[in-house]
Amino acid sequence: MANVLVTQCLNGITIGLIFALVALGLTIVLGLMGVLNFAHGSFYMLGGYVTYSVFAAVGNFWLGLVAAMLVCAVVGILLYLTIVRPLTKRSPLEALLALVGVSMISLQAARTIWGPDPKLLPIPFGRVHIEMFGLDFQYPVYFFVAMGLAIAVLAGMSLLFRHTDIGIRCLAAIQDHEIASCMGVNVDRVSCLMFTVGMAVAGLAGGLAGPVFSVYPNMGIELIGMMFVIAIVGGMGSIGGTVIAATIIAMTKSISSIYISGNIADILAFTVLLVILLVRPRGIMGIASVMD
Amino acid sequence: MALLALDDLHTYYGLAYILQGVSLACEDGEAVALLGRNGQGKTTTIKSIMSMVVPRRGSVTFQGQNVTGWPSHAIARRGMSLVPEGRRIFPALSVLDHLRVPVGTGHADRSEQLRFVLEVFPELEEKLNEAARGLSGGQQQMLVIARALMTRPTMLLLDEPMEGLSPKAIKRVIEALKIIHGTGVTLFFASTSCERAFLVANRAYIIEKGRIVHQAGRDELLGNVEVQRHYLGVRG
Repeated sequence: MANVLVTQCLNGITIGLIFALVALGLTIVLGLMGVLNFAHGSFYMLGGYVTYSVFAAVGNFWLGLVAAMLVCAVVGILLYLTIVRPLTKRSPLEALLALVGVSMISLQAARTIWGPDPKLLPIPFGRVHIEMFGLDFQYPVYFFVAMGLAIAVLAGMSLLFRHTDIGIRCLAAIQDHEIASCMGVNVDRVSCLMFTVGMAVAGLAGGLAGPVFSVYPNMGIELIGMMFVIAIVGGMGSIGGTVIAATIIAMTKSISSIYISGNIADILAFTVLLVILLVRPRGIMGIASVMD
Repeated sequence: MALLALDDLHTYYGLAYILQGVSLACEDGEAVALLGRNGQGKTTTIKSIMSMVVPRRGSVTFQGQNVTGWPSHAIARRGMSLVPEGRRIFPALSVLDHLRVPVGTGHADRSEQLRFVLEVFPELEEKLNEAARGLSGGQQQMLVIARALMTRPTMLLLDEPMEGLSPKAIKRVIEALKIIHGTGVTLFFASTSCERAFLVANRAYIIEKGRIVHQAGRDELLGNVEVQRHYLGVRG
């Protein structure tokens, strides 16, 4: 039983970190522009498919991850310039509706291009035999590598926000974009950059998730509701809060699924997050409330 | 030519008609106050200058350039900086990070400007790594003035810079504004208090119901109790 519990904990951490990568871009865009980017899940899906396609063509999974980030960054800039920026200036509600449309278009496009069936990506590396503290089980090395990569990206983003001018200006704009603008910060340019980075990181997450969940057209839409909750509960603009919220939801789902069915595990996980939101309206470590 | 000139400015919030033809001017190196009771249009005038709300009619000319409707960041980079009403600090940032947010006017050397700012407000130096939300009201006011100075502005707009401060903090803010003005920075600030405003300003405009109703130099206005009583509610 202990072996199963530890395995599920490790799964929870890996999946939680992948969720955190997706939710991070969402929380930054929400904080900076006040837009719920419903199309964010599409970039997670696109990243998965680009990784799969590159792997199918050249047999290199890691090259696929790099390509996923680049493609998602380019598509992200185009989406920002053509839809997000002009519509957000008019009304965040119009932008939200347009982004729902984009997510529907991308879903059907993925079905048309890659077909409705899941695409399986083999799990790179083999399994490691873990035998310590009375435990004895095998675990995929890839999950540890995915954890390490996700942690490296999250740490990089944290350094960006804490130690660079652009990161500090982004945090300032999340808290008060009007005053940041009056201090000479081109909030529009900061938003474009952060939107692009957020989409690239979502693409990376989609690629990383490929060997864990497989790649399929609905993978983005299935995730987006949960990502909104993680972004809001974690706290807008907070990397630490996003990681904690994502890990809470993934661990709760992962561990409770040992004892109860998957659907009830989902209910439990969301209930935990909603209770946190009730107790802390600004989220776990939020620097600004969605309601501000 | 005036450094800042507002010509027949009409500004609305939705259907609410706030500024109803404001015209005024500030010469380079002046310290000018905009006086008026609460709700007369002082903050809207400052917001209109910074494009935080875009006037429907009229123009804002700064350094000879019509900047009406420009993005706020472009106006800031041209040399206009703002100390907003209610301070509006970034609560999750440290004091030092506040001073890293502003983007200078191009010719600004940031470390040199930081030295100047910390000379004006030495009390901030020992708190550079503290969270801004932990500062007292007076310290926060000094921080937002310091933040505005980091763009190395030629003109500083201040909206009620002494509002809600202790007498000691007001004294420090006035001292700092005099130093800043002494370096050649033009000051334009909104205030409800004639007496406090003239501790820094040379002259003042009085705004009522969105219109400039009076303008005068320091001595003239301080000596005119009737105007103060009528427009500013001063008991004499």
